Amino acid sequence: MAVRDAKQDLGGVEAAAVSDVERERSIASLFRDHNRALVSFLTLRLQSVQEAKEVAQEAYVRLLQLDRPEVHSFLRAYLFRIASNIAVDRLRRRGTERRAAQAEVFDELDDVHEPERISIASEQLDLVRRCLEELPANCRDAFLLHRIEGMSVEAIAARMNISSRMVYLHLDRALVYCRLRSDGASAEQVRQRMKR
Amino acid sequence: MNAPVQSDDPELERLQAAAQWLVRLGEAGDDEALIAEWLSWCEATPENFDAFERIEQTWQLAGVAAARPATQPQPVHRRGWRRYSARSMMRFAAGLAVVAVGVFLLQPQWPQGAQTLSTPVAIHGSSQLPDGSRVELGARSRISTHFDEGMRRVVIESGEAYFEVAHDKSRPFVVQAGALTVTAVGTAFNVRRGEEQVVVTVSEGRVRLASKEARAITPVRHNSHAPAATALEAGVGEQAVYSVQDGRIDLASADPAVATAWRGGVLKFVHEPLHEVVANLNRYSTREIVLAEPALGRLRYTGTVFGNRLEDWLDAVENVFPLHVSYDGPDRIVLVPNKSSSPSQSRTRERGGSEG
Repeated sequence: MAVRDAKQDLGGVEAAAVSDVERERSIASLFRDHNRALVSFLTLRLQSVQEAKEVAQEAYVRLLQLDRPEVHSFLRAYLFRIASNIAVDRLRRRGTERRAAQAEVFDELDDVHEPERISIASEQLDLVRRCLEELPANCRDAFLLHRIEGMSVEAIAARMNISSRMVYLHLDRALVYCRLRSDGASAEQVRQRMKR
Repeated sequence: MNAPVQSDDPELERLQAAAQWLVRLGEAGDDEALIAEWLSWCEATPENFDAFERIEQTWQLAGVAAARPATQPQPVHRRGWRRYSARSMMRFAAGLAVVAVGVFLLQPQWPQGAQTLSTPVAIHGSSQLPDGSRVELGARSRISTHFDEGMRRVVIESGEAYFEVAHDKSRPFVVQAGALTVTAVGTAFNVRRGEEQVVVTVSEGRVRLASKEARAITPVRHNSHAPAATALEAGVGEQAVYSVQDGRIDLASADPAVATAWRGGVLKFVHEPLHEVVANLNRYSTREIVLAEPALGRLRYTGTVFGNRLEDWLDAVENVFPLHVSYDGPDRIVLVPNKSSSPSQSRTRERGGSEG
């Protein structure tokens, strides 16, 4: 990914001479190089991989339509900004429509036509649920406030009467712990490994 | 993120870094500088991004797992949830998220902590502040917001910002740039903070200017001899220039469109010292532009520069002023005075150009 970025990183000086055709080509390669990261970034926002993919696609189309010369040199930042804006619009719309925040994941899991998939997913869910129970109480509480109630780090710190830094540590720890446990290690193994 | 080079468990450190990135992106996902840093981390090695995707997958699963009742009996505090169906539980969780967002928008909870917004070189950013005001940040700029029940305070730490202030009589909106404070109620204005001067230009409404230094409160109007006042006001089409060194505020008329042209990617300068011009261009240039001699900085420049076409400007400036552009390695561009000319000669060139 890094190599094709070189042009963009040179800043405005280099990019000014880029023609329309080259520009389209550079947008296409930009998209190719960053699509995975962009989808990943948007998934965080939208809580849905499918929607993240749609938004990434839409951002790409808008970037191609954007007829502003000064955009040339900052394409990557613009791609993320546009995508971010679309995501925010969607979230707003979703708020008014009261759509479920995790609809897609649920639809997938609740699909009665695929019992096998459900059972695998349910097992995964049970495991993650168990992992969350295994966490120290403070760590779990911080994580649930963040993940379920959507509270900011700042707000959690105020609510739990701990520092923001501590909240960050709890959140980081909860994620890494659950990941390593999901990869098959026992609770004891993970604890030992994270202790070092 | 600051993992040591040598490590006995690189995978663990990678996952920890990934978790840190994920949480920070979730917290400040529209901070372009942060996104850029995250992307470079992702691109540093393929394992980094893989780790991020794995952590993200866990993050998603954990969200679902915590919001959904277990398929097997669960101990402790989640038991009560099992009275609900998966669907209603999900709606409950979603509702919580929506409420949380609503609260955040209407009644921002940033009471104690300051919120910082910043942009990297050559990138603008815009954001809605918790009171509904909008701020647009120029390149390489940094502001912090400190809102409480009595006051909306924004500190410009560096660079340039344009504000569209939401009306709220009970809470003044105060922008601070060094010793200068700009107070607005329902106004749009631009503040550019340089090393030697702060320039405030009003697009809508009025602002009140004050300085922490007592002597600063002597307005110097261009065509009138205004007496010393305790505060100075500027309205639409007026521009206040605060001198950091002698604490003086000069008020003159100016086209707000010129001062806010940067929002469209164009930098406009009217009779500005070259050192101010260069300082501003450097917020858009990945290579630092440097003046070889301080005297060059006193030349006055009038003209338009496209933020992404600094090269054109460098070509032009060689024709306008008695200087030449020297490329000093990959990251520095030096403006060097020509031997035969003195800076004073060039001042005439700027005015007419016909004398040359």
